[in-house]
Amino acid sequence: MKRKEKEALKNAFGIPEPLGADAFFERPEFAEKKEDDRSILLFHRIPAALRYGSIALAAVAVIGLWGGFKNWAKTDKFDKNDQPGVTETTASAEPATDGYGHEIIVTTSGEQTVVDIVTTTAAEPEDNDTVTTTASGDDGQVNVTTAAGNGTKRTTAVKPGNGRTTTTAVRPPSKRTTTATGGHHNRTTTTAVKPPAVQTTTKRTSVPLVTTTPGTYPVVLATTSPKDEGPVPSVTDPIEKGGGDDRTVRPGVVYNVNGKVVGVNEIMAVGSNSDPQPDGPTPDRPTDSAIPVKPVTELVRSSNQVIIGEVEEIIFTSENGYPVTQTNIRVSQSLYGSLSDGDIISVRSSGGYMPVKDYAPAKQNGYPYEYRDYYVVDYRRHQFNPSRYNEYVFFLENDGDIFRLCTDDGESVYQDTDGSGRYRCWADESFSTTYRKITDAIATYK
Amino acid sequence: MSIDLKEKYSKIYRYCYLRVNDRATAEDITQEAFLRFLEHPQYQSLDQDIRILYTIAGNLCKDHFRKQTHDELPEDIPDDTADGERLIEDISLHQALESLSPEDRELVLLRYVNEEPLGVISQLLGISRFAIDRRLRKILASLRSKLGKEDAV
Repeated sequence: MKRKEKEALKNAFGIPEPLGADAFFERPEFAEKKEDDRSILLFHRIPAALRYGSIALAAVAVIGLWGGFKNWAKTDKFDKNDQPGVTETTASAEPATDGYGHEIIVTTSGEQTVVDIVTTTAAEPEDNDTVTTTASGDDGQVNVTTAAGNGTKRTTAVKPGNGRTTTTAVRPPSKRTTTATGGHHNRTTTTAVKPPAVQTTTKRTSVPLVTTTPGTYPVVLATTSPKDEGPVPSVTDPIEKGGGDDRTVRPGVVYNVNGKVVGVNEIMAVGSNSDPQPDGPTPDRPTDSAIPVKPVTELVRSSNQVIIGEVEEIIFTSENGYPVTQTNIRVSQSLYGSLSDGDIISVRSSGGYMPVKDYAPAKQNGYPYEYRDYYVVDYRRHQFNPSRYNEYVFFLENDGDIFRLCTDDGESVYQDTDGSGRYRCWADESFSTTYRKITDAIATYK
Repeated sequence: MSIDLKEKYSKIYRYCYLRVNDRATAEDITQEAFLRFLEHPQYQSLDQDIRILYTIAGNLCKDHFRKQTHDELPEDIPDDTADGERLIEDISLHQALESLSPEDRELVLLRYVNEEPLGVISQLLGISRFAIDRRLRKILASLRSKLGKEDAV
């Protein structure tokens, strides 16, 4: 209907205009109500659906933010599925390549190196390359020799640190097969096989720092290798670790296990016809679950330091005629206690290597004379046998300047053996825990 | 006084006038409706939906007629024609409107004079929007037939 027609209708009704409207709204009741209305928030004038919808959205946003913050605060860097916070990025004007057209981006974060390899060309390799790295240290020094085949580029960086640290980084091609022979052989062979090139891809991998420490410990108990199978990039500059207090102590007696090693059973079996084992057994991680493992909550209760640390040095010493292993650990993350990240501490635990002639049970009970120059290896009852460069969760207690495992054996050591984020008990792998459970236990019992 | 408030006042006044057919009474009822609206539990602000005001005014009109049946008839019966301000230009349209039922007249007033949305009218009368639309079309058709095609609304 048109405006004109509406006006005609309005006129046809013949309704006179009201007279008292102005005077009516000047009454005090309306003056008060107008004041009240001004105090009403604009929010009340918004349609109810929008009003309540916005309240619900705001509530969801607040809850989501709070939940996200809590998760972030709890997971922190410990969760290995998370990318580490990048604190430093090295980039050059021209992207680094590995000679096959793979662009390599190396990002260093704390004690971890993240590598992105971008394959931009589809060049087919002609043959395989081999990289052999040999390390020997009979004289207490570590010599590193790197050989690469077919003229492909390999970079070796050797930089003595503060007189005791040498960092070596070797970059093989995109795929690598690693064969490590541990025990008492001072040799590691790495074979690198170059795979067929693929379309443009980007692969990220975490590369642990390869660090050797020259010293007087020629026994290499284990060699480390990256958990993931990704390519290892060229790291030409040694990566310096973060600062922290060096709180290590030097034991009064240090054994350089450079002779033959014999197991406890052999020397204690006096009169038996068993032949000595020339190189002795290298103790492995226990696989059975003969001992009951304490729950994490119990470990938290009985410890006053809970840390995640990386083994930097292993020293064999003895206390009261029994072998003791001192493990110098760099604290990656202090979960509870007075230690700070980056501190280096000494942790002593029962078990280790020592000369047979000083071994208390041997001295008391006697031992075959032919073993007098041997070293006895005594890792029993699930005692912790550390591996260098590996990272563990330690439940410790103070003993002066020295720290000790709160259960004095592998019960109080956990390790993420497969990079799954689950930390398995060193004494019994069937027991595992998570970072969150540990921190929750600390929050509950500490 | 805001324009919006004055407009509401005029709408309620017309609504009441259509029922009581007296300006003074319609203004009294309109003002009473506004005062009761201020005390209404659902009152939030004067800018609120006008539907409550229509309802209060309609109830007051009913009360007015109920009271009037018990009162004696006044001597001076209000005479529409005596109202000097009431000027009806289109007598034929006025007569056509007068021929409608009170409910239909009220519907035309609400929709085309007060220009209330169909939603408000449907809530006020308790009829669906479609029913109101159909009824309005029917009323307009009736008016057209009464006025002839040349004077169609």
